[in-house]
Amino acid sequence: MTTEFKVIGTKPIRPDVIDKVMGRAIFAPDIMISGLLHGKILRSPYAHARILSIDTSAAEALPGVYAVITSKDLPQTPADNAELKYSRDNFLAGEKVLYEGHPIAAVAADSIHTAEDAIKLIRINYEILTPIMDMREAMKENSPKLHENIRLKSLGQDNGRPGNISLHVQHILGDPEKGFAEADEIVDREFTTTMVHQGYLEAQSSTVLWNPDGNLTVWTTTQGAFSVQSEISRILDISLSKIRVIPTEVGGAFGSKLRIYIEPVVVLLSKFANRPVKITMTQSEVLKATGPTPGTIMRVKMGAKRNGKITSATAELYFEAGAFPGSTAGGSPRLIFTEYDIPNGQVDAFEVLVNKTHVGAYRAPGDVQVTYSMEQVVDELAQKVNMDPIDFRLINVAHEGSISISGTIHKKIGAQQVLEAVKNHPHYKSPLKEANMGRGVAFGYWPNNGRDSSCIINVNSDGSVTLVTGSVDLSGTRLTIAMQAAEVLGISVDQVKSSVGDTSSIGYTGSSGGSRTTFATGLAAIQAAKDVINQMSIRAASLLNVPVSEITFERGFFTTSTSSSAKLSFSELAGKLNQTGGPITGKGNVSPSSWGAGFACHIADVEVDPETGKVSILRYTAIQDVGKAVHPTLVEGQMQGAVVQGIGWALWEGLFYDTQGRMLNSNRLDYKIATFVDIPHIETELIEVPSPFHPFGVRGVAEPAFVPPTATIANAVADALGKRIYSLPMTPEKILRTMDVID
Amino acid sequence: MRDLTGGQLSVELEAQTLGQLIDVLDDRYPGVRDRLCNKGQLRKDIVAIVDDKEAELGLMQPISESTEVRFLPFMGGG
Repeated sequence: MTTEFKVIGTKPIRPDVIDKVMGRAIFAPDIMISGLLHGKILRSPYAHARILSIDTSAAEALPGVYAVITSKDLPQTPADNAELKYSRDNFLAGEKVLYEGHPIAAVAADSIHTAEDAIKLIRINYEILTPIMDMREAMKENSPKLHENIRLKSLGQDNGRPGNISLHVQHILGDPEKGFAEADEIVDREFTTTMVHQGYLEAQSSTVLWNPDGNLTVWTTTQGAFSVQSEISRILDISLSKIRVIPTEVGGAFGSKLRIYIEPVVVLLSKFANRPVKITMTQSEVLKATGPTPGTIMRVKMGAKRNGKITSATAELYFEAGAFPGSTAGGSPRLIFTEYDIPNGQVDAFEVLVNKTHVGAYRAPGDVQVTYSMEQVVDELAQKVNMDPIDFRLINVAHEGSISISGTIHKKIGAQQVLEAVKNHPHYKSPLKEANMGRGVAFGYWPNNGRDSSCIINVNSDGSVTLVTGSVDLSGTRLTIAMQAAEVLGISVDQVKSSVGDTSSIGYTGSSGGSRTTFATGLAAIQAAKDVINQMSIRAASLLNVPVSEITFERGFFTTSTSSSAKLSFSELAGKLNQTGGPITGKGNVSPSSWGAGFACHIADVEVDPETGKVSILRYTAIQDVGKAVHPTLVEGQMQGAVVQGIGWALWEGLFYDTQGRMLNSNRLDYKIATFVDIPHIETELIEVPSPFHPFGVRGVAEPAFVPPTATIANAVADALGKRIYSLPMTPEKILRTMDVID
Repeated sequence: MRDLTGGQLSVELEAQTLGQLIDVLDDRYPGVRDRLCNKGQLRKDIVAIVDDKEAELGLMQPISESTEVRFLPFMGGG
């Protein structure tokens, strides 16, 4: 493994920031094309209703309207393909609407105002049905069903009965009951969390140009151009080769832009209008009808001996899916308890349908919720056996070779190093004495991800290179990928022009998510850079008149093993390419099958105002095994940003509905996210335990940082109050009720 | 899959590829193939770990005499 780096570990300026700061960067709503029409979607005002009829004639007759579409304009769905039907129904409702904001029809017109007028002219007759807004209600046998054809798939088997539970997954390790019998202390608690939105500020926006030859171009804000391409293909039965997706700059995503919400609708509008069409969602539409993270009910039980060793752990986890099956319920059992080496355990996870928007991914999906519950039980257990919370965690921490309850076997990880760093951190050692103040810690794990990435590098005659990947840049990855290529090529990162390609200009690349991009697309860039070096070595051999086997490339120079004076710099050779065989393009296509997991532990000091219930964050420290930090400042930014989002989730955030399923806070004033006035300076400490699956030791960093904050703050608030709150968000009202200030 | 294997957590089998291994498993424990595969491929929500690495060749992934195979739920990301 390379240990001396010239580029990796430095802190160059992101190439995209000047355009973003100056307002020049092109985001999806900025796309303007001659003849552009504006689209608007008609959405359901009801959370649960049957559509009896739709009359679009008045809208179609309105001057300036070019196209009106409903679900009848979608392709016919085979009766046996329920998954496809759910997907199509979420773009344009068929027989029923299943949440407030569910799309029913769409219009393209010559102005947004005409489009808004037109959708008001669409007449719909509804049969209003009882909405199911609560998971406990949804799970009752006699509860109204969202879908008549959904039966519980419990442990992979269809139980034959219609219901609102669509999935049950179970993992067992050892003998959980025997483990509890061996425990001296047991803590058994139930927790709830609400649906939370990702909080990105840029609404979904897409522009589509449908050509008469059947080819179409899509400009959109997304985490993955190729996933948009494949989803349009799947939903509308269009060949992948006819769909070109151009990703624009992204104004925040955090998982929400892995899924699409409007693109197939815009494609159909453009097709029927025979003009380019753009739809930009409003903030209210974003909150009501994109994919937040699920609300949960979680029961967690853990037992430990007096020496601190955990003997058994069980969890029953219920995740809201929203209106359609598909949630983090399947994967979350792999995340809970995985931080620890526990010999016995069982995890059961259920997915429950309710009349809310279909959930999506949010940074470390499902992990935040399960860790919020587990880490509070861990804290209570540490108190019961009279141990320091970090010492308790160190006794049980997972190591290389530890097997989790779900079967994950840890590879080389930095979990113990992170906890030891917390124990030795000045923040953890500092006193905290005043009344109404509390300190909390929490530990978190995220597996990170690998999968498919592509990169090409073209060598320019002046020794600079252009690098293109398929990875949408959410967090500065154009730079972190360029830095890895520069390290291999032996050139300055300034010499690498790094850009994001579209689906017609670069090979398949998975979406930017799962904390995979700097790791996996970095590997593709390294492979492409090595390909460049190999091709240039042949040219160097030709120019230096030696066999290629005698050419060595080191620190930017091609040298021979036989002559110390015969050498060519990278830029010298780049200038001679057209005399030695023409241009050189290096390519990298990777699908890494192993990657390094990330662990993080956070410390928070809080103060609770006993009169108002307000929680102030006094001090916050985030410590994380980041592998080799390619760009330490960007890593710190990921850690700090994750904490800010976690503070919001812990204290204020949630999508709240009335009993009829109408969202009560579908605007940015009432949906409060953390701002600079709410947060302290967030200290960071980077622990660098190199991943064995990357030549530079890179691990994903964005999601491990998001796992601990809610549990950390919950533990700190419990320390301050001397009582625990078992639900998120911990609003002033809940704080005052816990303090017995209000009823 | 424990309901299909009668509670058994691990078994030893002979196969040369992951696809063959699932076929052998299905012969012994009917229903396993449907649980793991869809339309001739591993299901999207299942990950096969072959000797600590994700099976990047899918059902074509080679299996040798001492290979350990585990099936886990797929984890995506945000």
